[in-house]
Amino acid sequence: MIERDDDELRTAFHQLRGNDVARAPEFRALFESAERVASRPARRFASRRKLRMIAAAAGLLLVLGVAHEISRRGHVARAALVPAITTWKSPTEGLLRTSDRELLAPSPLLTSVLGATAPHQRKGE
Amino acid sequence: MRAPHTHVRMDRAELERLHPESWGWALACCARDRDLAHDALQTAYLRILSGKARYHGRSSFKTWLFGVIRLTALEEMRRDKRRTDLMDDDLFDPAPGADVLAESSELSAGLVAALATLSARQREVLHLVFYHDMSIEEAATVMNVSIGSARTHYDRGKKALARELARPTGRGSPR
Repeated sequence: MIERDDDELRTAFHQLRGNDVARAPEFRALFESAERVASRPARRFASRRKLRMIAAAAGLLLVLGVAHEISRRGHVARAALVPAITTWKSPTEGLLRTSDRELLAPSPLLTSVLGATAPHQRKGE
Repeated sequence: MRAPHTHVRMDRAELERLHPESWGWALACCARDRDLAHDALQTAYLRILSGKARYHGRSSFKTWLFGVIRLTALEEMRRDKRRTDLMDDDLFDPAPGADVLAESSELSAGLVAALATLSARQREVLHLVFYHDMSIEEAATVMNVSIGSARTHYDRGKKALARELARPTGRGSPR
């Protein structure tokens, strides 16, 4: 029963197939028009790809240039911010400036030495 | 063209041999709309020529080609504005238009009308098995579903088709 149904279905489908095949478009026309279309976008895609590569290279150069400039400016700014060791002053240096600074300051070495030796010289004279 | 010329030549011969069947399958995938089927088949050939669809030998060439045609036809159907309102999730309304029925009225209008009442998956698997003499396994590969799923669609579709064809109000039995 099932096999008979299958056979009937197959026959019906094959009739439909025969009908379709008789009205099928010609292969050559369909394939060759596809071939023509296939060759056209290939060229377009190639030129598009080239443009994209040029744009990417230009973008890369721009990014590198900007990065280089930023880095250079950073160096200059850092150099301006960091003072030389000879000119550096402590931030708390102002606190040491008091009115009696002269009293607290040690006496000059040369003066004290001379002061200590002068009376002896005088005695010996 | 990315594929080597010899490869394309070999494909061309094979495509030419399978062209009548490919046309029948494109018609089935496009709700028997000749214009859409024509566009779908041409686009499928274009994809093969441009290397967008490549045969890797994992299945027979015919099975692979039918898979390409099916996907292309589905895309064409989606793109086609005339059918936008008839589409559901992934497939189209199977009801054929009057011109479609008139086109095949001589031999197979009853079968076409009965097929239109089935789900798209059922219609596809029955078409592949009975129209193209494929096995259910091959049909499953073309439809990109599991063999179990294809078998279920086949069984249910066959029963539903037999019921439709037996209806006295229908367009008659397949014979």
